Amino acid sequence: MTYHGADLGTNSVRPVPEWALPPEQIKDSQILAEYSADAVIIGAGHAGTCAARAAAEAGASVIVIELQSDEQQWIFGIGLGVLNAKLGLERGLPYYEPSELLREWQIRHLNKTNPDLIRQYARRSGETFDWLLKPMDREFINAIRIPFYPPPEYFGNGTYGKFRSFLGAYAIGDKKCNLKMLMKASQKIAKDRGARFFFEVSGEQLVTENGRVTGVIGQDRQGRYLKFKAKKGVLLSAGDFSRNEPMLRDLCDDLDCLTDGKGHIGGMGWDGKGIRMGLWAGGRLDPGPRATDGGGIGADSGPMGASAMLRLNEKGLRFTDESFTAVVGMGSQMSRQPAGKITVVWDSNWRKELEYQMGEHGNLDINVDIQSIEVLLDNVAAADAQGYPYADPRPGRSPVYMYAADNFTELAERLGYKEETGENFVKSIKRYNELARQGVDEDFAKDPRFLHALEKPPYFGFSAPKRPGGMTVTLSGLRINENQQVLGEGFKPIPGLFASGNCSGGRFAMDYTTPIPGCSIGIAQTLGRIAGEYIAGL
Amino acid sequence: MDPGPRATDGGGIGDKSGIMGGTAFLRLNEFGKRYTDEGFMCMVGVGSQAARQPEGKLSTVWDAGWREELEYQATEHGNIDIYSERGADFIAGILKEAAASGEKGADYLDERPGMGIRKVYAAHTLELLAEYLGYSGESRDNFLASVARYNDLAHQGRDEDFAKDPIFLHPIEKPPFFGSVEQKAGKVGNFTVTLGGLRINSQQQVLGEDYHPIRGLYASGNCSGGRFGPDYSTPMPGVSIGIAQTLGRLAGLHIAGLKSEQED
Repeated sequence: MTYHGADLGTNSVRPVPEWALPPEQIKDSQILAEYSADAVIIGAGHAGTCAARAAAEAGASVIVIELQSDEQQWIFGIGLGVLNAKLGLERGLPYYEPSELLREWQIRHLNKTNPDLIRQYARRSGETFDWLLKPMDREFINAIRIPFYPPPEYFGNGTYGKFRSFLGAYAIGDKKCNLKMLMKASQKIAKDRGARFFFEVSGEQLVTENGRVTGVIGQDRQGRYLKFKAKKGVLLSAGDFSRNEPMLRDLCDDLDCLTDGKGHIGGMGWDGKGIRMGLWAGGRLDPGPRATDGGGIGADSGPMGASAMLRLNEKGLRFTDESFTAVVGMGSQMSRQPAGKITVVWDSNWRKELEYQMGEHGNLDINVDIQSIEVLLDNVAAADAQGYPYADPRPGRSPVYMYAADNFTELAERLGYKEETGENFVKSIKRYNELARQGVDEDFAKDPRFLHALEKPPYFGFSAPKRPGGMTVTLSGLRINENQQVLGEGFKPIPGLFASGNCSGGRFAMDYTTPIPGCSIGIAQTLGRIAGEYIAGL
Repeated sequence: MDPGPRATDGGGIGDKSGIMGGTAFLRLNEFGKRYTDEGFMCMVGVGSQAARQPEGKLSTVWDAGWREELEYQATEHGNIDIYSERGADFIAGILKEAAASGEKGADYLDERPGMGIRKVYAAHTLELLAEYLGYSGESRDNFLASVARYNDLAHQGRDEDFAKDPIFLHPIEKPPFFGSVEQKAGKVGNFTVTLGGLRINSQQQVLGEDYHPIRGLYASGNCSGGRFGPDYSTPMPGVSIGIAQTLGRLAGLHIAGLKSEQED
């Protein structure tokens, strides 16, 4: 069952799920204090921070409320993706015609994302990153790394299998150079321009007068209610709903289906409060499909990342074009395999093969990762049938045993493929080699550039259990128009209400597919900034 | 169930298209604004954006050069087959009538279920065409600005706004100008058939919990999932029926080849 927002009206045909039920209205007598500004922004993440700074710089009075504390605020991400930033152009990245990214984006999402929003991202994201870097010192800027750059020679114009990727990701995720520093610097500029930040205050419900959203009621850590009135607009930039499992199962029912309704699904984000506040005020959900960052991916890829190496399922059978938009596309088929393990298999020509990987989310950056892989694989090759433990550096992962062998039959055994599945395993590799040698993948239509026979022992294998449903964040939300106004019934804007970042829809549809890694954060910052400018200009 | 997304044949299309079908002519919304790459996978891709437009009308606009432009259409579901009896000659007849009918427009019968009598308008100026199509005030100004912008993009040969393939990008400048219009209301949600269904494996065995096959049970055609994903997208029109026949036949052969109560 999918809740679409209209259930709250008189034309209800389905019961309203609990997560969507509006709370009892907070009365004026319960309000402890009232504040007022031109723009009221709910959530000081990537979108909200950029909106606050942009609105303040445009001369508007600004109030920001944020659930977390100032010092302890956790800002998501380890990098961002933008097009044509000065920093990249200076370091040698190519200039891209923005409409080329728009074209690629709409293809990947089958024209179900909002071209008016993506166009703004393509045109203004580089300039927004320049703007964000203005207050940062040399040390910070010098510490920014550009992943996948310089690219391997074959890169050309970035056409990768069936898709195209763009160079424009920036790694900003260590102690001296991280996104929290970047956002705090912009928050400081906003404060210097008079913006008032209320940390440790949650948004509870929007205030509506005669069909117009005029403010929000927040609650502080002591449980006291505060009213924040907006003269020009309220911006919902309060994040996603990955930690609201009932909402997640209803709205992303592909995940409910992939997991047979069992186990836990969810992510590292928020409880959907921003989106729900928008719904209670008459907003409607974007029709989707409703993507998540990772929820539809079947299994961990291991040390070889999302590289296009052969994948086999529990039965020892090949199941996908392994080069299909890296981890996301390939992962969609992983999650549709029988219960059990998903295995990656490769040979000792792996260094050369890694040259044929593209700069998408989840792929290895050969400029930095090669050495540690060499060490790991040497250890794996030297280990016996017991294998060698690989410790995934990502949080919450326990070590997984990897295996090597000098022939496919032995590798199958070590990986736990027995009898029929062991025979399938060997047959699948032989078939794959045959296809690679003929240069046409008749079985899964993989781009021949990514099709390499496994012919140099030792051969390696990594298995991980199929387990979809885990994600960082959800990527859909309220239906918005080109000005990020929240749309209600009939796609009509709700006066005074805006949404940006993971509260909003129209940015991702099919999946978290990344022509530039970090695009979600790049969009949040770019469109957040534009929303701030727009509200200030009203 | 197959996890989907669960496509339907036409349910997500907001604009069923007028006499010019799913061709890549300029499309404008209720406010007179352009809203999509009109060359995106014809009716299905364009219709996805039409479905996301404000309530009200959706119009298609073209000019006297339409016959040549029809040569630049892909052979997808919903496009005009210029050789058919409702192809170029039929269209020419209706457009000729429209050119002589002014604000009344020309009527023709759209033979698809639920469509009925449709209208096409013609005018010697874009201002007049906008009026015939029901645009006034700000939306009329937008209409004219959108056509002018579209023509600029067509002349420069690069669609900076929607990234349409330049092959499909032709300026609208040769009178008479033509337009058709329809209301978005009632379009989304009406379709021929659904295309999602039970989760099946490569033998078309129905899969139960944890993707384990249910012994003895098969599904094919529109009972089964895994054939269409986001939409009824048609690299060949008629694919859905082609799949049903091909996989139906294979399922029959597979079941016939089993020994009774055999572990399948």
